Amino acid sequence: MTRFSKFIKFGIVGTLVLALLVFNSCTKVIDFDVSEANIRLVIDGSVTSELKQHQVKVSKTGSYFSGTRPPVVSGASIQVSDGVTIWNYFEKLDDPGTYLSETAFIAEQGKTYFIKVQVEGQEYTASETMQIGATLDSLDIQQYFNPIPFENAIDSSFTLSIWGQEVGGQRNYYMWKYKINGSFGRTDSLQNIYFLDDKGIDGAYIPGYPIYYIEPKEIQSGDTLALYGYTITDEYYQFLRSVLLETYWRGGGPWDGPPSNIPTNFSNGALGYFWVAPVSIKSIIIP
Amino acid sequence: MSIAYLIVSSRKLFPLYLILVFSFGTAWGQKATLSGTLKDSKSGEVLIGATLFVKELKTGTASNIYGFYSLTIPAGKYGLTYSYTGYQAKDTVVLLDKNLEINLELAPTSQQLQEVQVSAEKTDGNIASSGMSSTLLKMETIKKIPALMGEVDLIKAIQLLPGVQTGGEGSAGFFVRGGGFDQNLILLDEAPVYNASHLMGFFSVFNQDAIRDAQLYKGGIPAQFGGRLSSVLDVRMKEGNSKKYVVSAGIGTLASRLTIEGPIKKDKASFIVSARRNYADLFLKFSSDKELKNSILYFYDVNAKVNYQINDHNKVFLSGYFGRDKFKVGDLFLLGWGNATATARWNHIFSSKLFSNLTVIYSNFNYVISVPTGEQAFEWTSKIIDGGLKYDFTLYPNPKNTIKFGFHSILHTFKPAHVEPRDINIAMTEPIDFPPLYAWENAVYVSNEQRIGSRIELTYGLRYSFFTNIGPGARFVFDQNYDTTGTETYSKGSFYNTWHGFEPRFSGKISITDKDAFKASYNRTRQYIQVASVAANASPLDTWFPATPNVKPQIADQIAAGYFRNFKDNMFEFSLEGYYKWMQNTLDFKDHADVFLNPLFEGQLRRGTAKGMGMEVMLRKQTGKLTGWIAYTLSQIRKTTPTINNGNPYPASNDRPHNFTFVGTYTINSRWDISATFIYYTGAPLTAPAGKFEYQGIQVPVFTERNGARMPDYHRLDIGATLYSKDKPNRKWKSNWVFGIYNVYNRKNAFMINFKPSESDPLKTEAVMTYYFVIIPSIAYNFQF
Repeated sequence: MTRFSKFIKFGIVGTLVLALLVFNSCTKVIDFDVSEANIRLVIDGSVTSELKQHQVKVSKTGSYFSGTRPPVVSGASIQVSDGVTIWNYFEKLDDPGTYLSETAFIAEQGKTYFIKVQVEGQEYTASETMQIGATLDSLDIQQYFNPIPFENAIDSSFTLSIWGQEVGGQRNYYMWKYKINGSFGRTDSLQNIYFLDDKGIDGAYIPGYPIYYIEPKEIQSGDTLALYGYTITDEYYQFLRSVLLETYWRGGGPWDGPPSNIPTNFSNGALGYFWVAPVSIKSIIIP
Repeated sequence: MSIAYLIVSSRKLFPLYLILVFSFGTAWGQKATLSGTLKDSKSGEVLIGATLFVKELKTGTASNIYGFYSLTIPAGKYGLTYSYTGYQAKDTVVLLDKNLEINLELAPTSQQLQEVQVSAEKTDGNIASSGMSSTLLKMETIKKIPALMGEVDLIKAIQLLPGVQTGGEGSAGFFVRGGGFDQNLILLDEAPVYNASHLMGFFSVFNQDAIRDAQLYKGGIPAQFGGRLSSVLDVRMKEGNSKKYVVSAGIGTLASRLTIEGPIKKDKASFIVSARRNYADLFLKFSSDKELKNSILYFYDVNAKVNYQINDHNKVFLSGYFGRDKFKVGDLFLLGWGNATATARWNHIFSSKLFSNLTVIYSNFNYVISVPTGEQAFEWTSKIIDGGLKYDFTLYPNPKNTIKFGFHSILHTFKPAHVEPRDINIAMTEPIDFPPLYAWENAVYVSNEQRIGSRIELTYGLRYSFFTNIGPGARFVFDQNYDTTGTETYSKGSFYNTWHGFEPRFSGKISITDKDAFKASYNRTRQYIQVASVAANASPLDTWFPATPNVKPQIADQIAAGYFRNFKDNMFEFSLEGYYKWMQNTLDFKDHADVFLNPLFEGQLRRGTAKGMGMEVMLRKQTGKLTGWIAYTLSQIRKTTPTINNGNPYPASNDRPHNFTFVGTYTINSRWDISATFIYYTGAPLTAPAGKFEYQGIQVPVFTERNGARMPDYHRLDIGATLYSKDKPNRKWKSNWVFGIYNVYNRKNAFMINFKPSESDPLKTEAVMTYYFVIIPSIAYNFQF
């Protein structure tokens, strides 16, 4: 073998190594010793403009590497009020740690809602004011073929698009979930929820903006798909961003920001959030 | 005298004026000046720091970065010695009865390739001057250090010096004495380089064939430099051989290089053009992966320089750098970035005692990110453009004093972001545009290097910098809660805000014997422009932004003291330095800051302070078969920022308490060199979760302390060997093979550690370590004719 061809061989190996490294760095799961923080209460509650029994979940923090879900908290006393009316909550017998309002009610735009959670001799409170909401005009669902067939991509799916007027002149934040035949399914987990602000679309008429790609296995012809469009507050939007920045959005590269705690609107050291939002619901039958 | 006029005309400089008058004493009398330029006899390159020694007076001087020297002494007959490490000294006798110009060429002692010459730093430079916390690295030294993928890298060599920390495995970012990566002033032939990285930050922009040397100042920063808090990296390009044409080239694992240099007019004008391109993408075509096959990943850069010696008193230089990186994944994504710099310089010798250099500067850094097609197609551009002028003077009134003064003026244009929807973008209806910002940065300075007897030298100086925001511009006004309360707009050409202040600089040395020196220094630096980044490390997507009415300039004060000693006829240099540094108005982003195309991003900034201290020990061997250094740094850097870490101090991300480096090269014979480097440092700090909670199906971490935990310690051994072609007289062709192994014992050093939900079971949370470079062999072939 000549020196030159030897060199070329080295070159190919080396450069491919580099290319692979740049495209795919190596990762491995390691053991890491961490100190344990004090246990804190976690409250996840909301009221919306939908007529229903609204829900609050109460739990505690747990050990990070335990591999189990943190424990739920039973026996809490919970009240929500709009400053005039008070709604009491009860704990679901079949689902400890989950509490429902005794009566169904509608939360109204522009009003401020207060929550009070009493448990183990401590009291935790939070409040939020409902935004003026944007209304969805219509929905459409269409079969969609991915034009760029990269690896792991779903070759075909359904695009769920929306039409509607964006409220101009103010910063707005939206969150969407969908129910198929009455169940939230995939969008029950925050991981799969789409939310965004109105950067670049302020005050515009939204002409069929695709917000979800729905996989064929999720739906069948004749199913009812209901899209829930929430107009959320800046604070709740930042909360959602923070949760994802610290979990599923982390590890994209060396450009992540430093890890830091998720904000909360609860008092007395509790974690979690009490959010209040108007919701616009549109349904469509899958053709 | 223009200097006296300058000083007297500014009342604020009055105390300094007194010092200068005092130090001149009765220096003016029956004297004559000896001046000239010192060069290499083979290449015609100027020699920096070559010395002239007057035997009868036991005094001397050294040439400046343009090879110019000047010495004013009483008239008489003297024996002179001109010397420079690695070169044959020249002795001569002169009758100095009037001003005399002696331009000399010194011959290198070795007939080998240039690479074989040992470091050419002034032999006793370590103890002769008051300068401290500073290191000169010649490219010849750097070339012998084993390199990642065989790509010789100036910044990676800088990272092996005490007091300098790396940004992480393979990173071309560096951190000096606790400062941030954007607090280093990187100059390439006087022009600022805003982003010194290639290939996603793993390599630096400096081409080994085009660079002559680099000087790093970590403290005691001379008054002629300013604009960044922590350090100055002054990189100088070669001038080009003025004697004969030389073609040199190299073929490496990562990139290939070609350099042509030669005389345009022998001994009067020469040029050098050096180009480099990496070829990672050429091999991607062979990949079976569809994505990889249609991908592009490369960088190239070109350095060019021309100089022309008009006459003995005038010389002009034109130099430029242009480099570009391109990273493209099929039609999905494109990322490109690059720097362009250009300088035009005019050296003018007003008199044998007054040397001047006028520089006109241009620098441009920009990046583009785009999704070329599809429903989300867009093109995002961002840039910073500098145009400026520097006028620097050096006055050599007598052997006791060297006075430097001058002014710098730079006009900055910032275009932080412009995002243009493309094709059929339905997510964006109109472009997002951050209006350009303009600012004018100015500085005047004066300093004196004063020798008192043969044992004491003082360098004292004052820099006064001012930074003006120029309209058109607009700014958001923020209240105490960082919420915006309105905007203010400024008309075109209006000077709507100015920040300014003094920057005193001092360093001094006192020698007990000829072989040692105690040194101390103080400097204040001000920084008016910085990078907006939520991450702690440099990236290709650095967006620079200026001080504004909302953003105060950063200020750093540093005191340092040290002991320096040379052993065995200057074969060994030992230094021990300690420093304490405190910084004001340091910037951090608030937790979970939203800086992505956020016009209100100034409201996401939090102003804090930082305190750093450290001790650096270094033993360097400059001559002999074995050369290199051992260095150890003990250091700490703590930041305090309101709202971050509950307002408590926390370690900065570049805090590495212990850092040890070994760099060694051993010359076996005229054909073989072997080298090794070893590096160890404490793992980088990180914020580890102390618990978790569940929120809507996600396991979310809870933290107690910012940067309270550490990554595993970092250590790595690299080895290399160079085989030179047989040295035969009359043979023009010279070549060498460079072999290297990076990370010999295959340590998996953590690049980062993320705490996140497991992919297989979202209820489980785990620590995931990312590492990049395992054992990597490399080979390169270099030749010259």
